[in-house]
Amino acid sequence: MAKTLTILWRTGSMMAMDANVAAKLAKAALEKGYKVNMFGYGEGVTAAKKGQKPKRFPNVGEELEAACKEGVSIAVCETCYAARGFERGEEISGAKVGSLTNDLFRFLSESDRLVTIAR
Amino acid sequence: MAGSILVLITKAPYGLEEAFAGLRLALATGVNGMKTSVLMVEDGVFNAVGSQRSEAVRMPSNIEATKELYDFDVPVYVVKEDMEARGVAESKLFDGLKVVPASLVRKLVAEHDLVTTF
Amino acid sequence: MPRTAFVILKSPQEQDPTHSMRRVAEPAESSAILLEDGVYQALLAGAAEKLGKAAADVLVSRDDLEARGFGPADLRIGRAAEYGDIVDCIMERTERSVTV
Repeated sequence: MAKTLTILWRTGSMMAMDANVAAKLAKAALEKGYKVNMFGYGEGVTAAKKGQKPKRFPNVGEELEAACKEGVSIAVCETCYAARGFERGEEISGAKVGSLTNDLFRFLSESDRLVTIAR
Repeated sequence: MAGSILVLITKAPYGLEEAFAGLRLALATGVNGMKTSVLMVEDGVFNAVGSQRSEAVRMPSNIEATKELYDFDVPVYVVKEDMEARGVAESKLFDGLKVVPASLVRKLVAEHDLVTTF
Repeated sequence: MPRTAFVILKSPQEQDPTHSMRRVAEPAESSAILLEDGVYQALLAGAAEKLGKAAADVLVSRDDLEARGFGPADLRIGRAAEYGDIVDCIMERTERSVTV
């Protein structure tokens, strides 16, 4: 069975390239045949908001959405999401607004490796 | 398949949400029965100070968030050298914490399948 | 064989990762993965040598290196790596990842 990688990212969509790096790492792992989970926590949840329209920067929302389409499981922390004024349905297609206790725990318990991308 | 996780808390309380977020993550894995340990290192040792009054800045208490872990047998370690470097005396810590030498960090890391940093 | 992969995102002026690295693992059992501004760790005299003594293997993201105006020839330590190689390091060549 393919090994599983979970990437926990906690940096927001624009102030750093962290979420883009997380998406890129996820894609590379997927291409190598690994199962990949991503969990957005804290400020990281902003990267999974749909409708981002950066004029000149890469669109991390679209990068994460593409990763979902290719098979990466993505969830974000609901408490962190609501704290920032986002509502269910505003997340990128394929992502789940979930919880630490259910989704992150499930991701972690099935993981062989965990990579944290945060400042 | 991971059976255990070590949560490193490296940031001081209240200026950033990191330390609190790390403690909540530890609670989530601990509640689910995953072997979970917390290690306060570097500026993270400031979370161990017993006289914190988080209400002064209207933040949730990192002391309470730490003590909630005790109910699920999640040990919380604090690195002695990092306390000393920051002038935090052992007598200033709240109860239940385990003060450990930095030389124990490698062993703690090796005892867990996953490590995350806050 | 390196057992711990250290993920480093910050420049040497912002952070000296070697103190934490040495605490967590033996240098002979450590790999360093330099991403974003972490790539400067392999470019700066002093910091690069220090990192070389804390890790047996240093992977520098080629994309992040080139984006900042540098190339493999500028590295004082380690080697430029594609993301696929970084994934191999995380999944196969080490047992756990620690972000410092």
